[in-house]
Amino acid sequence: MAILLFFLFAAFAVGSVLGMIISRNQAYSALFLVVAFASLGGLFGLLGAPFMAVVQIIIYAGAIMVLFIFVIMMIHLGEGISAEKKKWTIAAAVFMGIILLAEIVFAVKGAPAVPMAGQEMAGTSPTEIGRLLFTKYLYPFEITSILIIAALVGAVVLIKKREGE
Amino acid sequence: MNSFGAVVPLLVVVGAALIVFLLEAFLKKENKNYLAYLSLLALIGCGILSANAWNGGLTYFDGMLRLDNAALFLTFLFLIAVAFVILIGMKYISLQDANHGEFYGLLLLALSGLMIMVSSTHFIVIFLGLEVLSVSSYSLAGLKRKDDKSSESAVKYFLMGSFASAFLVFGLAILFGTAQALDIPGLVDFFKAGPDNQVLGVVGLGLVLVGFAFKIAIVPFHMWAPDVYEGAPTPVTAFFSIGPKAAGFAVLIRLLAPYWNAGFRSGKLFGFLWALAALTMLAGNLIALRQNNIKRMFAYSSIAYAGYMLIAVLAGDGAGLLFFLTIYMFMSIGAFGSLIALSRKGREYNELGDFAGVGFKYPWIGAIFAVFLLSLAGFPPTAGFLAKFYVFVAAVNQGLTPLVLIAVLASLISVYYYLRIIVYMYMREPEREVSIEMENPALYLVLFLCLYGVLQLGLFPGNVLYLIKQAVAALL
Amino acid sequence: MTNTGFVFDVLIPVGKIVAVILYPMLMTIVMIWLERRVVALMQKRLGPNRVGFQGILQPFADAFKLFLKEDIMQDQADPLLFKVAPVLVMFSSLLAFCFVPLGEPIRIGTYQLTLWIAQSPVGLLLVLGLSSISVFGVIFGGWASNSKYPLMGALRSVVQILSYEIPIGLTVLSVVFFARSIDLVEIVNHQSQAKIWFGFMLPVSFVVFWISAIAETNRAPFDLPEAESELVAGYHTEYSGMKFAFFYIAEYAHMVLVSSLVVIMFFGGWLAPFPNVPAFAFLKVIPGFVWYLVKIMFFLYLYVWIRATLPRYRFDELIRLAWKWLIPLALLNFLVVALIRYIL
Repeated sequence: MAILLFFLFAAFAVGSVLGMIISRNQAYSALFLVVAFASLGGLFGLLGAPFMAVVQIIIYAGAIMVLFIFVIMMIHLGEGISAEKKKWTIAAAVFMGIILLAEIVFAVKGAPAVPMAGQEMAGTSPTEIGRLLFTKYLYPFEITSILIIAALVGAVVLIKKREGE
Repeated sequence: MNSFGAVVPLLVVVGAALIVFLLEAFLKKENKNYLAYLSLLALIGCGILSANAWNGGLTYFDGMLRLDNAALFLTFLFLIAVAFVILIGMKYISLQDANHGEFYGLLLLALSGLMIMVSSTHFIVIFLGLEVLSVSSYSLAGLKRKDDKSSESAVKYFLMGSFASAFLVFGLAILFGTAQALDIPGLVDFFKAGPDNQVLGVVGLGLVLVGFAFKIAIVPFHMWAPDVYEGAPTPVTAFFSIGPKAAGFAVLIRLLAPYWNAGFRSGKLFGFLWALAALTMLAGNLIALRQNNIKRMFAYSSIAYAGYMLIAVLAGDGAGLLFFLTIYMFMSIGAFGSLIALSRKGREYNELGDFAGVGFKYPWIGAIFAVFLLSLAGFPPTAGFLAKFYVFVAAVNQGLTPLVLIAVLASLISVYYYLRIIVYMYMREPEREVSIEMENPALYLVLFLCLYGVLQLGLFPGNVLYLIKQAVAALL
Repeated sequence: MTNTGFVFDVLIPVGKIVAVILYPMLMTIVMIWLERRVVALMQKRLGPNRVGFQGILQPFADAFKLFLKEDIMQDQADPLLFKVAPVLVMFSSLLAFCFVPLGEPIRIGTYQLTLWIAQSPVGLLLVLGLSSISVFGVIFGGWASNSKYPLMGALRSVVQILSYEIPIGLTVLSVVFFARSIDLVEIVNHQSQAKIWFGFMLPVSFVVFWISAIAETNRAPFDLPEAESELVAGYHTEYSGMKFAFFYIAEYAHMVLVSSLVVIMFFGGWLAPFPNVPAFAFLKVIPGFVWYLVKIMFFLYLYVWIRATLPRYRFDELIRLAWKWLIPLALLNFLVVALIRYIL
């Protein structure tokens, strides 16, 4: 059952990401991306990390993608890059992609099986994650708050109307 | 030693940034300079606290924050650099329509990012520090909001920077998956342990290096640099040329020096970086030859300088790298400071043609600028020569003679375009009227200090080398 | 033995799934009737009273009418997204009901019949996450119609829902602080042990949550995305037939969902009232899900009551209410609650 679900979610994730890249309609791409995030959430759930699964859905699918779509709706994007320029870009991208894929396949083949499937991993329950965040990873957690301040102030500086503008 | 004292310098900087943001909302436009004074005060405070921590080996947060001497030395370097940038920027931002108090706050936040990056060996912390730095930098680049080039620079920097971060994070994920560790000693132990997973680990490490190569602008990951450097407000450009670069190289040498020592000096990664270094020096200097905009020229020159610094990393020469960075900071800020000196309200002179005859019209600024240019080109009495000399000698000792030959060749090429500016300043008749705002004492102070630094380090570098020796002891 | 195994392993789960699908529909029917009648009475009108006793069959007639209507999709609409949108809305609200506990477990011999389909350690977050997915239905519906009013409605709805999700998250946190769990069943159990409902312990949280919840469900006085006097019908203006019915049902299902959340988090879910007063001990005889139903009916009635009472907000005021009042209030409340929790 878990295997079946795994392949279902994996197929959905890969398929929808492909759809996102291929689709020429930005709104479709956004929809595909939402599906991809939801399937990733499912994969996290299967790995016994329900908190990660939900966070994946709430933050990525629920909040970030909504803003993406908001922008897509507000700005009418054109058809994108012209066809002739696209041809060689696509060729180059496919070429590089194949090289990267081969590289990773080669690398993964050399790797011995990593123990993960079926085992209950430590630090996946919400309580456990909270505890880790506030003990072992307190420093990165606090730095994140500086990061958010920087992003907020930075955005406001660039867009806020000043007196006399 | 586990002590809260290790966090305090960082807290001072972040706290000052928050106070600046708060006061910004209440201060009148004419009084924005108070924010600069406040920021400088915070920098001095942070400097005193860091000086007290020297040789203390303070750590906190389970060793995630490690205030060793190398981190402290770089922190001093950043403090001085940011103080200089604030001083040269005070007048500039009001003259060039970028008079936002957030300039100081964002600079302080960027500084905190730099401090976070250099004072940790854990990659999650390093990555977050890098992001704090980058996010503040993106908006700093776009501070001249009515200038299209500035906006272009911000957007370009943001897009390319996010792209680089994606590479970095992907590499970190692969590294964590294979090595089950993200701190540098753990990673090195993993690579030392044997061939299990090593191919995958090297792919991860390679992606991390690509991410850093973007941030420190190494060819072929340098495409963003010229546009960003050209469009950003000049004091911010001065900051970009030293801050992100120094921190990036500090992380690289922290990571790679133990990696080389673990017996990977002849591995694939080494060859890859070797090629990048050669390419960076040659491409940077060759493209700089054809630039007519001085800021773009400096952008390519700073790319070429990244190549020289990469030699120090390849040679595992921490002392040489820190010395090089120190000198480069004085030269680079001095050169950009001179560019700022040649500006007036709403107008900057960045084209080569503008510089014709400037050497006689404004003899002091011209002379100082010429000294910085000579130092960048690497002429002997100045520090620029000594910096390259130390790195090249260390590299030859490590058997990197072919790379050093390329580096020397590249330096020779660079002499042409540095001297071209001097030729324009002293041997050409002025083509158009250049009039500049003369009253800018803070800027002249910085120019004087940079000049002093370049000459002092070129003639009597003993004191700084002594400090660097203590700093590097912690590094390796 | 095999027989009972079949019953427990197949029949009961399938039955539960059917029940979860039917339950919101049923509630929708009740709500439509209740809303029309109550609003009419409050406005000194009669409301529908012809079909069946007191008009009780009116919703069925409406549903029948929608069922028979022609399904129109105008030419300039985006065909895929236009069809996906109502499905998304319906899907996410129905899925969320799987995690909502309707009552205490019922013991049948050795078997324990739980009145929920799935108990998850992150149930509360799941329900909130799924309800945030339903925004996509609204956005895509408005965008795919390729028409002005729906687009305006969708834009408003995005801003409104994103803004009001923040106070919701902050107030939910204060409940989680006391329950020490984000499992909906655990939250109720904790209230049963504490012998006090969180609504009385954290009144500010409850009020902020309730106001934000009304805004999240796009109901009056925050029904800007479908304000009929300005936008015809907002994001579903171009929809007809069963697709329209989906939006309609989903909206009511969302209301039921939000009321369930309020009841579970702040008013003890299926618990009987007055746990501390011995004189009222007899109330415990009544089964849990009846109490649950009574409580959510109260909140659904409150929805209708508020709709009939308050005029609609202006859009900028709506956003100001969220960012300048509710979020600071929720933050302050969060701080106070955290302090109290720390001291206790």
